[in-house]
Amino acid sequence: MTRVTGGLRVLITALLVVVLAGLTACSSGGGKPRPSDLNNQPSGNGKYQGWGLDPAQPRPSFTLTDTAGKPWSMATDSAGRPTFLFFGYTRCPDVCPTTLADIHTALTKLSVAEQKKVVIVFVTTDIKHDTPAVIKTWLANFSVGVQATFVGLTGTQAEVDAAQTAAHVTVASDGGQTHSAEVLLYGADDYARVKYLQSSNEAQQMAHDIPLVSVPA
Amino acid sequence: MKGLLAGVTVAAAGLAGLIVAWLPTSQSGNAVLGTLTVTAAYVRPPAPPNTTAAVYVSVTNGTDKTQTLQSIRTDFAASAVVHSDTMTVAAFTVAPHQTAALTPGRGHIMAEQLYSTLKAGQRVHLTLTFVPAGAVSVTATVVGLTDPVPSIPGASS
Repeated sequence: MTRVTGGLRVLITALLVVVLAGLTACSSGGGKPRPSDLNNQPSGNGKYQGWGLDPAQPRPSFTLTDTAGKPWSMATDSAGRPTFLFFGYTRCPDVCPTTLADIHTALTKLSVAEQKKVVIVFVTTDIKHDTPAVIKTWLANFSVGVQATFVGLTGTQAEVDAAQTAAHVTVASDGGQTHSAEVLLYGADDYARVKYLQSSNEAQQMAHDIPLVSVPA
Repeated sequence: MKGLLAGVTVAAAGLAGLIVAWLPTSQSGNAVLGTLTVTAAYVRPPAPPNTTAAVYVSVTNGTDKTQTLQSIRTDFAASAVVHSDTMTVAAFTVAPHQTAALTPGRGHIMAEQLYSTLKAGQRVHLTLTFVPAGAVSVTATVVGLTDPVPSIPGASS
């Protein structure tokens, strides 16, 4: 234990450090994503600023329960629309609210017409705590002021695990608290060719890529 | 260990707090140990109905010793501990002459039992006690619920 003594010199400096536009290349997360051109590395999917997926992943087929208590099908209820898919839990103070904040920020960069095409699907990995009502309240923090469709889903443990498997993300553990940080973006052609991992320019990447996937590839 | 750090005064504005603690020659009279700098501190407030906030910082260790964050006190929450990306309590260490950061998905200070609702733009204060350096006072700004991630120096890619 350090003994902090008085009478020693202290240098005081105050600076404002606001660097909102820096580029940060991601390298963590499940799988082996191929970085895009933004990360200054070659990629067969270089037109995207997120992580290119090769091969592209088809929109997964799973049906879970939405915040109204109704069945909701990933395969059909968002078919043909650009769709973000993210697995997380509402008590998460870290990646989950940050990711939803990035999606919100990306949407604000788009026109209202572009926003209205987009679906954001949040699937809880903590089925014990995250009731439909809890998910609805939590998602409302991030849907305010934008015109996209936010969908919150839950289900049985087996159903939620199967949904993660269908989406090719690592199945969450520790009661859902250890979960994939990946955000998949499916396009109008119902394939995901790009995904995102938490970084300081994630919102910028998403805003760039949404219009690209809003029309069939 | 004697006389490594006298104390720190904080002056910060805007998004980030910056503190430079000059670690002078120790009382044993050996060498100037360098500086310990905490920058880019910010708080992501809880998204209701969640009640837990996350604090992120970047720490540049200009000393010749590994610095380990031992304890955290804040003026806005009764409890604050470092969590890893897997939401378990973890150690946060900074190697000599290196910068390390707590960033979303790569560790954060979890603040629980908040004394009041955090508002975007609000400034809060933390005291981070490093071993062996000592206590560093940090000012952190609360971002909005829908604000994106600010860049943090030393964030690993």
